[in-house]
Amino acid sequence: MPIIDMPVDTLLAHVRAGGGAADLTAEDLVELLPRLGCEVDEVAQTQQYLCGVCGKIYDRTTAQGAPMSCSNCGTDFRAAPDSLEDLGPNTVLRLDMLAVRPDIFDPGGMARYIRGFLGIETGLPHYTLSAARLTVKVDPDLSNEDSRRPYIACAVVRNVRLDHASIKLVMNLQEDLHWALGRDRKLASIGVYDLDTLEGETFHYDAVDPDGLRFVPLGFSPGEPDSALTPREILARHKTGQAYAHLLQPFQKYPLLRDGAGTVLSMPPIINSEATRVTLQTRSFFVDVTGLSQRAVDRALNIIVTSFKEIMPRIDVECVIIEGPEGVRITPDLTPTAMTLDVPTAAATLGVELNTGEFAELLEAMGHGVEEGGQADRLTVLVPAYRHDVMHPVDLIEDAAIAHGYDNLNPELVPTFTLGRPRLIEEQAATARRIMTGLGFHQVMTLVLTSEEAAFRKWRTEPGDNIVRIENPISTEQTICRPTILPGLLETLAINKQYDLPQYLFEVGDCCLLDDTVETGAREERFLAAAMIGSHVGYADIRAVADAFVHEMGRECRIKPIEHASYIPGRAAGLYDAADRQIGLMGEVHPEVLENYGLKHPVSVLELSLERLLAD
Amino acid sequence: MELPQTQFDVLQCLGTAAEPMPITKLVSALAVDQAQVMAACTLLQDSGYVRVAEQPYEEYRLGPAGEPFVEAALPERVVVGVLAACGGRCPITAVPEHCELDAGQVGGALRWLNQRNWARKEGPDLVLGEGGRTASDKPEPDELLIKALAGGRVASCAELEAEGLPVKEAMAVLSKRKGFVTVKERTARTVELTDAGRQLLAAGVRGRRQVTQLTPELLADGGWRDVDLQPYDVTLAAKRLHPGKEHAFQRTLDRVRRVFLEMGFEEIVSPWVESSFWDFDALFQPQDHPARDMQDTFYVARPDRTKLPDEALVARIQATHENGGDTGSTGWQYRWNRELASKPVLRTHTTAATIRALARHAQGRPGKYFIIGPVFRRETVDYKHLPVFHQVDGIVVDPYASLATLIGTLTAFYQKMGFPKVKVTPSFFPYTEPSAEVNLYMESRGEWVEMGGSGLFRPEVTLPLGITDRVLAWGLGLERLAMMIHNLKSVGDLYFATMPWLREEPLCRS
Repeated sequence: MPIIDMPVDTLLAHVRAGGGAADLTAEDLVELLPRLGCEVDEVAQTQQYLCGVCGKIYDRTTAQGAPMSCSNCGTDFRAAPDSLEDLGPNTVLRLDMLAVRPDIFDPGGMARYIRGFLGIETGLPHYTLSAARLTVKVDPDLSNEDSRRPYIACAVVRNVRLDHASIKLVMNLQEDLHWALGRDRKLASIGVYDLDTLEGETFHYDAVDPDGLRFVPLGFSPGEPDSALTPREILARHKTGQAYAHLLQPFQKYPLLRDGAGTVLSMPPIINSEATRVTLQTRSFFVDVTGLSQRAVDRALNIIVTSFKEIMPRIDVECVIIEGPEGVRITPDLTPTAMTLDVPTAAATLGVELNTGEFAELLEAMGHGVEEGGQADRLTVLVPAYRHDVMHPVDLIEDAAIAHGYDNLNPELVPTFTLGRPRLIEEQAATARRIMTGLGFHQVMTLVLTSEEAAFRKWRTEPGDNIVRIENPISTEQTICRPTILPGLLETLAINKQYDLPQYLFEVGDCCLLDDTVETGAREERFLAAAMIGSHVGYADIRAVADAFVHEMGRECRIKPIEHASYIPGRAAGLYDAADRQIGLMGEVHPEVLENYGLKHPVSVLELSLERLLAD
Repeated sequence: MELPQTQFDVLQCLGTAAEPMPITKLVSALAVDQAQVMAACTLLQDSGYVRVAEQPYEEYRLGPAGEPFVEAALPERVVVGVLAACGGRCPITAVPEHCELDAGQVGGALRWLNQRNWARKEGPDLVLGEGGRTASDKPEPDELLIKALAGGRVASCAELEAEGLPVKEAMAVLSKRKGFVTVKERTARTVELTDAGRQLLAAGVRGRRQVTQLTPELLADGGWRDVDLQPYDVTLAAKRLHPGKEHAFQRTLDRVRRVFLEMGFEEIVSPWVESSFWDFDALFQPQDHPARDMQDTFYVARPDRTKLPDEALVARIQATHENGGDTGSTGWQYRWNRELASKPVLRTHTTAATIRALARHAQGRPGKYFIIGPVFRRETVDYKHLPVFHQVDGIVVDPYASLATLIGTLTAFYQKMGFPKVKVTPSFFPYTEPSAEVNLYMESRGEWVEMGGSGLFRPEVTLPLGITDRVLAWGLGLERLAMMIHNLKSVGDLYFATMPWLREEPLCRS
């Protein structure tokens, strides 16, 4: 579902790095990627733009045009056009990605996936981590309800060499993870900083007074007056602050990450500081991930450091010690998760005959490790730490299916015989439609959502207390579930005022009625509604239709006069069953109602409950 | 031997005539309209029973300029009268004083006075000539003709000559006087019997009546045998009829329904107002999933709560979400909230119905269920999207359910829907694993089009319901399918139908 722009040349370079696949082309990728679950929307020629303030790079198609503001630091490019640099053309694959695989959103992770699938480099990748030198102390207040953002994971990355392309990848990865894994920064948000701007060996992650200190947020210039803002001011005045203010606003204290000297790294999840930002000259990163889910935070960090390692193979990833209220942890922890796969179950799930060794090969092609030894029909699978989506062995079975190729399965039908069984009301509704078309009526299908205005006030009645009402409608025209079909019919007549008369319309459909005796508090009931418009249409016409309909459905009903505000007095009737329960009504529509619809000819209508008519 | 009635009547009438009869006389004798008589004569001529002769002639009628002179004297005659009374000479300018003519008319008469030799101009005077002295003795031919054509009479040259009128001499003068007499070229047709026609009459030919309408009377007494029913021009169009019809979308829905029934599926139903429990939680969608936001889902204000199913099931679902429960999964690792589960929503997919059916299904028997119905999404309205649309969902519970049988079932389903080429690729849905996206080849577009998703339900979905068999599941949006099949540009075409579309759209599309 997320659309990612994957730069073609960068991806090919990473796939080919380290040998194999020398003649892989862009066309090959377009053919290959859907088999891996990545839909290729298009191969697009884009233009690359650089934000001179924070270094973020954008890929834009001609249709999109240059960006108007920076989504990273908030700089308005229209107000300051010199801060946007045109870097020239680029070719990208627009991919519709599996939302659960953020580990392949960047060219490094994607190349790792492809190399495994093509058999160039299979099995669990190994990433070396250096021993921790830095510690982050976590304020227990961050676990409180009034400042809650308790989880943090950090890493140090040394020996970094950056160019525009790699900065772009770093920033894009952050953004993509925020969206896909971090639920738009709520569950996890990421900060990357220039380590050389930071001091000390112990950093602090605290809950602070929103008005207690000031720092210059990313995108503001330290030389300018008023550039140092308090945390609360940032939420009000910085563009990114405004966008994500809802994540902190309910709190009494806000999270803040600072180094040993008290320099602010960032106010998670809002914005980094200007002082610590990454530039082309940066040689070491400090990376933090904070959030409301330990699992999401840890996975995000795992994905970042391993993807960085794929994009920039010469870097050195160093752990960080996290001292929190619940104990001490070392992050990142790239230990794979062990999961047992029952091979006969896997084979039956896919509908293939493959043995243990063959499954092991398939899983290794998908980047998992498989332990040696073990029982004949079981595998112990080592799932990489950057895989966020593996919760149950079925997730491994799907991976095996992808590696095997969905196209290589033999499509079959289940051999078991079952009897088709239609629902009686549907058969009866079909008969009702047949009767009405036989009487010369055209079927319409109208929306099942309507409004009080359309369903009641236009008909000279008031909405009662017993309609099903939407809490968060998207438009004033759809606020309730329809308790009657007639408004939809008259709306259709109103659309068709200029066409030949007479017009005869009907609909057989459900209405939604409040019912506190049923599980969800409301139920549907099948109705027939019919409308006739013409210069000489009157009660006699709709009555004839009603009589014919009831007779053809094999039933009888009684007709009694009723008074109803929507109908001409003396020209409306109710239909009643043998037990004197009302089944429906019909009559000549009141001229005021016709005026409300802008109709210029008389209309007669009928509406009855099919289910009540057919009840035994 | 019989002839159509009019032809017989013509033949019989001519039989009494000694000489060729003008058509006009025939028409008045038969009291039938001219066109029919002409047609009959033509047909009789084609058969060789009559001979139609054509004689061109001229038809004379008074023109507007000539009409006043039926009563009044021609101006030149008036002038002659004045001159005679003035002793044979009068100044031109004085002539109007002695008569009703004005100076202009007197001037106009000069030409004719000269031509007829009735008077000539001498200086300022008009002098009566020899011809003028005797002019009053008799009327001129043209004057006679004018009087003969009085009262709007239309007559041919022959008729007038027969009355003794010197038509040629009169026309020699009148043709120079504009607007006095109009002449039309006409054709006089006469008809006479040929020998064959005479013989036919003598042989006792009979007439046979022609009618347009076969009437109950003709049927009652067998009279239809004695008449001819006139042929029609059958190539002409009659009036346009528009039979009552089912809606095009209904026909698509019915087709989908029929395919499922033919594949042995049981039709099910579930409510529009659904609990979050069945719409999301039972399908292993975490409570913080973006689809459950107020942005994307319609929450229901009234009713404001739904009941939850039995406690044991709710507890199993809770455990599954929090840590996987007994399903062997890690679960979502968060705290599950019961209150959220009983919040009512307008169902966001028909999978809510199939999961309910699965909950009712007894493990150990095979089952196949399907539902077609409306679903609700809180999306901005545009030409492709409305807040309510229709989906179909199907599930297969079976010990032989597998990814291979999923693909086989989908292929069979879509082939029965009329799409022979089906392709699946890996995809993702929160409640299925493995998952597949279904692509169909559209001949009309020459490309593969994505049409819905599918997969095997995750164990986190099936095990809490007591189902240990694997379950195939797939669904698709039906408006899109209907718009493709019926070639519509906008989803509004289905729900805001126009009479021309309802009337004109054929029931059967090849």
